[in-house]
Amino acid sequence: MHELQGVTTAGEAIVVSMSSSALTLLAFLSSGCDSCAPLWASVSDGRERDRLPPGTRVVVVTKGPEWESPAGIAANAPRGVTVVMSTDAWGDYEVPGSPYFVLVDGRRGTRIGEGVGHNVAQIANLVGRAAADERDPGPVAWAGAPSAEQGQSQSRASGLGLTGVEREAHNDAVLRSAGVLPGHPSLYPRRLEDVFVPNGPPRSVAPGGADEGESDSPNGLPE
Amino acid sequence: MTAKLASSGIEALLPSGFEGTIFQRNPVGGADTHTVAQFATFPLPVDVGDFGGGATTLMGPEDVFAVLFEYGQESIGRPLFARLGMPSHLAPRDFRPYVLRRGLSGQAGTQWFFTEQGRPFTLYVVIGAYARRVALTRRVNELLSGLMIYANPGAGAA
Repeated sequence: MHELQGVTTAGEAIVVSMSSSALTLLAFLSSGCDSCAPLWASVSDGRERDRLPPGTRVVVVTKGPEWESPAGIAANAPRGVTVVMSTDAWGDYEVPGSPYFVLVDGRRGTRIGEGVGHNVAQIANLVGRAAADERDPGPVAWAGAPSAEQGQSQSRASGLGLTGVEREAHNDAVLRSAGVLPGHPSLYPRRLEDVFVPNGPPRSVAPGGADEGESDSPNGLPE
Repeated sequence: MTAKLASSGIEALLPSGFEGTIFQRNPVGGADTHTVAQFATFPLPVDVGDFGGGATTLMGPEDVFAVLFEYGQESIGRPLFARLGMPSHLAPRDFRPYVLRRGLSGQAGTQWFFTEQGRPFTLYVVIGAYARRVALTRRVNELLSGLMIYANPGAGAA
């Protein structure tokens, strides 16, 4: 599991270990994204953080000083919460955009949940479920992850500890085993029938082709 | 995975399970401030005192806290800093329950003053349980084996 290596808003060198807490909730936030604004406030609220399972450490991770203004981040920084500015961490944890949360099990050294939440209370519910789910050690993709299937696939590959190249090979193998070879029509969809089995389970489709109930952003990704 | 922490002429290759920070306080009242490096096997709080105030109370029996605290150049040559070089290996007997800035039941500490690369330091280490000093001293020595102090504060910076 990747340790967080970066700097504080004061420019101090810092390393945060993922194994120093039983559970660590990484909140990947930006200063400029509109949907992050309520989360900065929510993470700052000690009463909301108290809704997380006991012993859960919250760490805010922003991009590094080359992307973010340390003074701007410091102005938003929740009191008493560690803030790490590290662009590398966003790559290490494959963060698709902000806001984004990753829950790390420090004892197992694995990420056990990830996705998007609108406030800490909502995340607390998801964290509680993930932490309590002892029977299924597989990672959980929370609502708002890149998409239900895509997010779980990414989490599953990540849970295997695969690097980017290994993950690509893993995904290729899964596709091959499902009969999806290079040139398969589902890889170049023009109609819904190219993707979904004609007699498969019905899926509601919103005007414009977007699935209802998924992210309201154009590409299904958080901002 | 080993994480690297480097700033102000101090470099640390952190053993698994350790985290840390290297910082310098803002001067208050014209007083000089110097480099402080802290390492811990538990979550370091944001507002931790130089010698672990606010942190050592959070330690569990398996935990380690260590700080490298630099003094001003006026300390060079004083008997307290006569030892040359940071201790690279501690023994369990070096840890004593009464060598603590803040005496907490069960904990033990050790403190060493020294000069390295022309820079005067103290190394202060707290272990979470005196009864586990043999195993915890091994963890401390893992940490110490990855610590480097450079003469020029810019030489080891990240």
